[in-house]
Amino acid sequence: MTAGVAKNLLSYGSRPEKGVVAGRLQLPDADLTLGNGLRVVVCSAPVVPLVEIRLTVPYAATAPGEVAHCQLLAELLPRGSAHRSAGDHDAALAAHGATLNASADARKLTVTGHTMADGLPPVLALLAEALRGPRLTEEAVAPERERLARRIRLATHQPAALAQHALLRRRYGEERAARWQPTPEQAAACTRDDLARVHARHLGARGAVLVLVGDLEPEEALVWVTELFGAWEPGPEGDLPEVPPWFPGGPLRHVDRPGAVQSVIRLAAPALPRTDPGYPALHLAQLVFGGSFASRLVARLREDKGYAYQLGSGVESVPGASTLMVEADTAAEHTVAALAVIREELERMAAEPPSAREIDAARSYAAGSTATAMSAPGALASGLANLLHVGVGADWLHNWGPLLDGVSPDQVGEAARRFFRPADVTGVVVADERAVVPLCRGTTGELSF
Amino acid sequence: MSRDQLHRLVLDNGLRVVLAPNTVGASIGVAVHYRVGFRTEPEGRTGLAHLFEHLMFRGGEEAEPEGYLPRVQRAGGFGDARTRQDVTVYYAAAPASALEMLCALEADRMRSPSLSERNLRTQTAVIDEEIRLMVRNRPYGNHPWALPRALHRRSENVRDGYGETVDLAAFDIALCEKFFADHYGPGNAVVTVTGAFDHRTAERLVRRHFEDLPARPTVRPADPPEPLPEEERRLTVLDPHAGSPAVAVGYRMPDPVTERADYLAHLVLAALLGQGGHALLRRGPTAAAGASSLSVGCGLFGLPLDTVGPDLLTLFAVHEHERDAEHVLDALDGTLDALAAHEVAAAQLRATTARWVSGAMRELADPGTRAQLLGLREALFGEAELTHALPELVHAGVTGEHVSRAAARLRASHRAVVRFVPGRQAVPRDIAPETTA
Repeated sequence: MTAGVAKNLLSYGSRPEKGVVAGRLQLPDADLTLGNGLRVVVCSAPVVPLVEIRLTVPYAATAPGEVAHCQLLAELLPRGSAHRSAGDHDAALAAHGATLNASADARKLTVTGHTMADGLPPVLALLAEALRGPRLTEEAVAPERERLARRIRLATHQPAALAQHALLRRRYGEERAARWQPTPEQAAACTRDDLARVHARHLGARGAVLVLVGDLEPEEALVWVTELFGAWEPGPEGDLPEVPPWFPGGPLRHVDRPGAVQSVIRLAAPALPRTDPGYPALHLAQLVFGGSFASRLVARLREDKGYAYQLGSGVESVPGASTLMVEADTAAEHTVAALAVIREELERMAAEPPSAREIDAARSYAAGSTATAMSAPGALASGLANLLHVGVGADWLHNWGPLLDGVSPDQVGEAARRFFRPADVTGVVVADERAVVPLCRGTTGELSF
Repeated sequence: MSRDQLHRLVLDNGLRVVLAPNTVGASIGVAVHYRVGFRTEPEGRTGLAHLFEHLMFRGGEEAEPEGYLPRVQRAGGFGDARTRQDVTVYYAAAPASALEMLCALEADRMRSPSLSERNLRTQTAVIDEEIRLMVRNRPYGNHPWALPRALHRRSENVRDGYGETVDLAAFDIALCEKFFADHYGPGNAVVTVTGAFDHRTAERLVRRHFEDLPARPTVRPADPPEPLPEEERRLTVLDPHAGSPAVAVGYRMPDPVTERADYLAHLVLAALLGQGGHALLRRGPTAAAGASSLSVGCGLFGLPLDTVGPDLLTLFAVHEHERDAEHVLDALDGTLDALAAHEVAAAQLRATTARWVSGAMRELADPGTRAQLLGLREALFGEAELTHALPELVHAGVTGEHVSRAAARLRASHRAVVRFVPGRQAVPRDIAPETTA
C-alpha cells in the first residue's frame, strides 16, 4: 500500500549532528582498535535515549556446510551463555529494554541490537559473555537447529529468495554457491562439536568491528568496551572473507515457478569495489540508470509503461568486490517486454551518456539523502557497520559529499560505458515457463537477453 | 522522553498544522494526512483511495514536468505515501534546507494535483503489479486481509485496500476529480513537520504556502459501528505459493478512545504473548509447539492506534503440519486462560513493557517516521501528543491486573481463525464465499 519508491539497494548514509555543515557528516567521535584486534567506532547522536549496537565479525566459511553452522551459532548467540540460561539472559536484556539479534552469512556474523541508554554497560557485558561463551548445551541447540532448518526451507517458497539463490549460482558457479548458501539438511545435521569448532575458528576479536551510536558519552563508552571486550580472544590470524571472483556476462537462467503471476527479474554485472577511487563515478551513473525515482529505468518501466511496482538498480558490496544489480518484478505477460526495456536502457547508458542535468540531480540526491537517511541512529549504526566491513574508512560518510563533488561528467560517462554493457550482464528470471517462452534457448533453461 | 515541543495551528481554511521542532539533528520530516482511506472511500468505488494516492504521488501541476519525487530527491530527500483504513499519508524526509520546498510541493498538490488519463492508466497497471507482488504471487499474501474479511461484516470493514478488479477498471478522471473535491480539502488534512527547524519560521512558511488554499466542504461518510462477532468465524484459504500451512487469528480490540486503558493493556498482552525470544508462546510449557515462526501484534499493519474503525489484535504462525494449527490455538487459549487466572509475574511484565517502550522510542528517532506518527494520531484522534506519550502510558500505566483483564476479554470474545492451506485449486485472491457477505 505504498507508492513504491524505486528500491535503493544501498545501505549507507549520514547523520544529523550539532555542528554539521550543509549535509557534511561529522566524523565518529572515536575510532580505535583494542589490543586483541577489535575495532571500536563510537558516535554520539542523542536523538532518543537509546544506544544502537552493531557488531560485525568477519571470517571465511570455507568448509562444506560451515555457513549453516555459522547461522546456527548466530541463532544461539542471543540465547544465553555458558553461564546463563536463555531465560535469564533474555530477562537481563529485557530489563534494559534491550534486544540483540544475530545473523550470519559466509563472510560475517552480525549482531544487531539496541538498549536504553542507561543499560549500555550491562547489555554490552551480556553480549561479551555470550560471544566468548555461547550456550551450546543440547537443550539450547536442539530447538534452534530445527527452527533454522525450517526457516531455510520456508525461504525457498519466497520468489525473491529463490531468485537470490539462483543468482548466486549463476554468478559464481555451483561449488561456490554451495559453500555460501546453507541447506536445511546442513542445519539439521549441525552438532554441538560443529558449533564449538566454528566458534573457536571464526568468532575471534581480530578484525571485528563494534559500532555504538546514540545517547552516549564517547569516552565513557570506550572505557566500558575496553573493560568488557578487552579479554575477548583474538582468534586465528588470516581468517578473512573470501573475495568473490569476477564473473562473466551471459544468458539469463530461467527458474521455473509454475503458476507464478509475476516474474522476478534479477540481473547482475561486475562493478568496482567500494574502496576503488572510481566508485563515486559508478555510483552516480547507477543513480541515473535506475537508482532513483527520476532515473531512466524507473521513469520508463514504471511511470511510462506501468510494468513494475518495485524496481531499480543498486550496488551490492562485499569486501573486495561489488556487483551492479538490476531488479524488477513484472507481470508474467510483461516479462519479455520488460527485459527488452531494461536492455535498451543499459545500451542507452553508452549511446546517450548521463547529461549534466542528470548527473547534478544524482549528485545532490546521493549526498543529501545519505545525510537524511542516517538521521536515525539505527540507520547510521548499520550504515557505518556495513561500510567498515567492506573496507572503507570511518570518514567515508564525512567525505561522501566532497568525493561526489570531485567526479567529472567525463568520469560518469566513462563509468556508464564501462559497467552497463548488456554483454557483461547475467542474471535469473523466476517465472512461469509460459512467461519466457520467446526467450528460451532450446531446453537448456537459458534465456536470451 | 522526546525533546519535541508541539505547536498547533489551525488556518482559516481549516487546515490543521502540527509543528514539532527538535534541536538534535539536521533533517526534517513532513507528513500530510488526509482523513480518507480505504475504509472510508465511497461505496462501490473500492480501491479509489489507494489509486488516488498513486495519482497524487505525481505531485501538483506546479511540480510538472518532472513531478514530486524527483524534485524531493534532487533536494537530498526521499518520500513515499501510504493508504490506510481512515487516512492517506504523504511523507518525506529531507535536509532542513528543503523545508520550504516540501511545503510548496505539498500545497501544490493539495491545490491542483496533476491528473491525466495517461497517468491514470499507467498507475492502474502499476497497482496491478503491486497486487501481484504483495498478494497474488507470494506465500500467505492474503494475510492480513483475510482476517477482517472473516471477522467483520460491514462491507467497508472487510475491504482489502487494493480494491475489487471490477471497480479499479471503472475509474475515470471525472471520478478522481470528484474524489479530490470531496476528500482532499485543507479542512480534511493535517500537516505535520518534525526535526531541525524553528517553529516560528516553519509557521511562516506553512502560512505562506497553505493559507491561500480555498476552504471547501468535506464529504465524510457515515461510519456506523461494526457489530461484535457473535461466534468464532473460521475460514480456509487455499494458498498456491505456501510451502507450509499457516494460521492467522484476529481478535477485536477495545475502542481506542472510549476504552483507552484496555486498548493499551492489549498492546502489552500482545507483546507478552509473542514479541521477543522469550515470549510466552515461544517458551515454556505453554509454547506453541510446531510453529516455525510466530508473530503477535496490534493493528492490522502491526501499528497500534492507526484506525478509528474496528481494530484487531492478530497472531500469525507458520507451522509444519496441518494439525499443528489446533496446537497453536490450544497454546494460545491455554496461555490466555493462565494470564486471566493469575497475574503475570511483575518482573516479566516490567521486562516486556521496557522492551515495548524502547521499540516505540526507536521509531521516533527518525524525523520522517515521527511526522507520520504524530500526524496520524492528530488526524484520527486530535491527539498528536499520544505518539509521544505512548511509551510512558504503557510503561507506567499498564498493570498485571489490566493484562489479566485483557486476557479474559480476549478469551470471552469471538475471534476469526484463518487457515492457510497449501493448494493450487483456488485463484489466490479468492476467499471462501461465505466470508465475503
